[in-house]
Amino acid sequence: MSIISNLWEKFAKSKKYREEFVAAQAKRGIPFQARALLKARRGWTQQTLAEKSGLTQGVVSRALNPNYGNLTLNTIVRIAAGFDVAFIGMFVPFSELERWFQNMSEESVQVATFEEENARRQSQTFAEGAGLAFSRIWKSVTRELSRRQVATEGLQSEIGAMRGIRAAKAACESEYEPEFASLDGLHQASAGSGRGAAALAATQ
Amino acid sequence: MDYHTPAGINLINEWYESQAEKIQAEFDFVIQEILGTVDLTDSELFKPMIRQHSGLWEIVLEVHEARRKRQIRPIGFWDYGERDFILVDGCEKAGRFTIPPGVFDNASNLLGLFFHEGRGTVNEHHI
Repeated sequence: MSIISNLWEKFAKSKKYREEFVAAQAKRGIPFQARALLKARRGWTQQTLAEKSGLTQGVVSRALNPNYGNLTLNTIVRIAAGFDVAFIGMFVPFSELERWFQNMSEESVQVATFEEENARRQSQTFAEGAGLAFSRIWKSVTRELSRRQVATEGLQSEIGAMRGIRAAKAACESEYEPEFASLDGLHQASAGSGRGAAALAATQ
Repeated sequence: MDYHTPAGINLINEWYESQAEKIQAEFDFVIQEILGTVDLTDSELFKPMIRQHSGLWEIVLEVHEARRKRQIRPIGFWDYGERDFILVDGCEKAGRFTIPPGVFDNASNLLGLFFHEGRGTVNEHHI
């Protein structure tokens, strides 16, 4: 097996290599991540992590050493508690191991603490809640606007109809104005004489 | 990256191919650790060599076997001004001796050839 063969070729070539690679990952992967997490926490020392984990500095030092190789599950869980992150050990297919390994870097193994995640989730919940409230308000506003628009259109059509009536009335009045004027004259003339009354009767 | 001697021999590959799967797997893993580490200055992964082997660096690899810890040492040097670690050869340390013997001396000679005479070539590859 050549040094330059890619990892999958090595996996495919030898079951023994696969087994040993899994063992190397178990031995070195956790110390690598723990060192990267510790580096990312400015001002933290092994002693800080030891205090937060409830371990001694010596145990933490060994846990960070990739060559130590005797890390217990209890120590791993205590260190997870010290960083306030979760730990899941699980069986995975080799393709997942390959993907994880090829992306392995101090940056890719960083994880948020519970506090960071919780703050993010709360602000997300607030944003979602605010969005929902806004959406509800917007719906009621648009509903009200639409109702008012309908009412306005009704009012406008009523006003239009009234204007039509008024215009018809004005046209009617102007058309029959001479007749009305003559009738008025006859009324006035007939007010004091029988002849007038007879004339009025004759016109009707 | 690995160094090929002026005669075209890739010593680190020859060493790698002669190792058991356990050592090959740990070696592959540690190379990725190195690639994934931003600041290697205070890394536990490397140790600078001193005195007559000054300029060489060894990767510290402890491989656990049933009743003993084997001290495996891939050796290389930094391409100064670059961030590249160039692998030259590998060996096992047993007390004051190496298996095979003379690996550090030979690597020191190759280091001198490369930097002072520009002999040998460096090849990049991905694991």
